[in-house]
Amino acid sequence: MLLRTCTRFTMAGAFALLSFAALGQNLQTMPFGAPIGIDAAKKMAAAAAAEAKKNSWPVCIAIVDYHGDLVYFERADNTQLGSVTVALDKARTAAKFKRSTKVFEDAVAGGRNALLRLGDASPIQGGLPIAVDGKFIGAIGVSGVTSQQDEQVASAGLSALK
Amino acid sequence: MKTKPCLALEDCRKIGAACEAEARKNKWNVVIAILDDGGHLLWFERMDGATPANAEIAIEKGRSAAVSRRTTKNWEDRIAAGRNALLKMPVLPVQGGVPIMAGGECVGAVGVSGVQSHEDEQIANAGIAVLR
Repeated sequence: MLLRTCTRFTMAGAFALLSFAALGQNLQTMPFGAPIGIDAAKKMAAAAAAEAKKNSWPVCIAIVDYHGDLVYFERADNTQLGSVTVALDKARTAAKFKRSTKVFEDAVAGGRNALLRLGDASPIQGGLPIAVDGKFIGAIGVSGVTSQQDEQVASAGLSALK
Repeated sequence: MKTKPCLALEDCRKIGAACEAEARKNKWNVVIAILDDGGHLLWFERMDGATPANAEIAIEKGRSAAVSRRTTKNWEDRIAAGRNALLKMPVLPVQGGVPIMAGGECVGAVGVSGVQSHEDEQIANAGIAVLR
């Protein structure tokens, strides 16, 4: 189930970074690398912000290390305030569970409502794990527009580390 | 109707860059948080070497300064002077949070954590100085 999801994302380009998925590995067995540092985080945020700006989407962008602790955050002008915590929650969820928050959203939509009680996991699309050279290093969360658009912005961030 | 200035992301980037420059100059690894006048996060950076605890503390210092329109040192000093009742106020009374004033209004705050509290405040002030 998880492997299938990852592979689908890879095909969609959302997980272009995570080419391991196509090789038959999954995120849960991926080793942890060094937690993402400020330089990589800023590079990702700049790419994500450029994607948002191109579309005139006001969003919050949060980048956390693999512990779920914040490394970089920015809120574009006129972004709804509720998105501050939503972006953080999405990033933390993707970090703590080593998977896209869309996995949780799809599972809930598919009827697995029990996941709604899974700790502080946010089951809303827009949070993606970050992997470099086959190592899991953190996650990015975006909130402000529709969940699909949020994930598109997060994805643009990931592509900056290619 | 009354109007007041408001921090744009571009202002935050400038303030954050100036804070970071002050920290680097002194070889300090810190967290810098910039919040709006309601205490909501606008911009945040954790330099390599700063801890997860610093991340939470910087945000809390900034939030405290933003919503109280005072430096967190002001809170710390009043408690140090003996007014322990202030420990029950909903702020973090530790130096390092500084409100950002523009046109006589508080438009937000900077919170810094990572080194000694007076050094944290020095970094926050260096950032806010770019607006002047």
